Amino acid sequence: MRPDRVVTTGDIIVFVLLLAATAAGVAFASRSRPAGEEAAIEVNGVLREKLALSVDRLLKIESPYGFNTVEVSGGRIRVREASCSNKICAAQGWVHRETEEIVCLPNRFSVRVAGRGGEKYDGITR
Amino acid sequence: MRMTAVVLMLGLLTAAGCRETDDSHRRSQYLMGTVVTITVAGLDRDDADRAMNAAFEEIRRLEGILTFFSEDSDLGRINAAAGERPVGVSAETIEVLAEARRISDRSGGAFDATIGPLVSLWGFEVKERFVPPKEEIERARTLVNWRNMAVDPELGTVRLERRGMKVDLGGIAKGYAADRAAETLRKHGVSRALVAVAGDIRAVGEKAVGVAWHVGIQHPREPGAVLGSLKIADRSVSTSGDYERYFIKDDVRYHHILDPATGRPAAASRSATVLAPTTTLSDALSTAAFVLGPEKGIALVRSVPGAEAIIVDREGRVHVTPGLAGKVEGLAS
Repeated sequence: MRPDRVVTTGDIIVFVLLLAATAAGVAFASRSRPAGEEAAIEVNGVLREKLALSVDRLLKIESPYGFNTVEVSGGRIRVREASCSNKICAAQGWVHRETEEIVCLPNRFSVRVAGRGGEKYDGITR
Repeated sequence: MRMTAVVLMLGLLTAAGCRETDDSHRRSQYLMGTVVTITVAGLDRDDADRAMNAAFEEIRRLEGILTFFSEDSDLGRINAAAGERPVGVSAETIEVLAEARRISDRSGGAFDATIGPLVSLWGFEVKERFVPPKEEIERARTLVNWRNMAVDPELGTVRLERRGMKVDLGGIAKGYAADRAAETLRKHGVSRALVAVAGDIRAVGEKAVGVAWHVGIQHPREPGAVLGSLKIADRSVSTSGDYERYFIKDDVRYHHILDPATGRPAAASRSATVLAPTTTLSDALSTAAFVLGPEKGIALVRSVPGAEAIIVDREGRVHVTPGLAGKVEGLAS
């Protein structure tokens, strides 16, 4: 009868593969911000809506400064239409990663993507 | 052994995915033409709110003094009297202009608060985007020179020597406001906070005992990705990049950080991030380092006590000061 080996070649291969996969995953996750789960919409610094990114919808946010229509689709969010003068918010397109932000300065409007369990970064220097 | 490997892997994966719980309060307001976000930790909601209100109010007050867009502000009055007479201004204006002059001296004019005529000419503050004619750039450029701005702290006056000169504090006022807001928070009993005036960030204390504030550095070419991240406490960080406000015409990227030496958008860097003891310093130094590019920019920052830098050059290569080597998380070095 063959003696029981404590560590087989197969074990070592599996171990090394798992280690490599973990390292690659950690390296990737630490570079790109993780995908967010919800978006906080603020007007003039006051929270107006929290939208789950898992639920597709179209929502018009109106305020004395103007309106911005946001669209949630496929886990992402964008400003589809806005009353502002420069349309920078709409031109920015889709965002979906934690702490990604769309800001419409003329309308004092912002969309900020967040994860459910708090955010990875306390701030972003840009 | 199989079990050990599985347990070890599960442990690693959990550690990578876990996050600390958070008792901090965060609020934003629109001030100085941008978003100001204050995060306060370690206080209950009411105390945090009172402190944040006072800090926002302080920034609003400074905006009224330092804005480029009003004739009644200190800056408006200084600019209107250019080439004519000295103007009496507030202690805050003297403080920020004196610091601006020091950084201009130190950077050989790569940062220059008298950049106003060029900023107005390029019109990054208005909607129309165009490349000005060469002669106009040259004419505006001859008006840009910090040595022709006399700041007298004793009399409390500022004088621009030549008609047509204009002070623009776009590269320093947000940092100064972050510093003043941090001071206001401290006066209101806050010992843990993060003040972010757009990308100019000041950390007050740590986030929690033994936990520093975690600040991501925006990747200059990949929206939603960070270049790396820094752990900071009682320190400031600012970034100047060519990706924040720009337009592309005939395949050339024209962005808002102008090189006083050429009168055109500085071309040596994609972004420059500077860590410093104050945000006034990190804000102005990041502009100077961006304009100077990797070699001279790193040399400049190394000459300033307590300052460090990460510069992404025009090809995308990353340069860091020796004091930061190995300390930027997620950065391949």
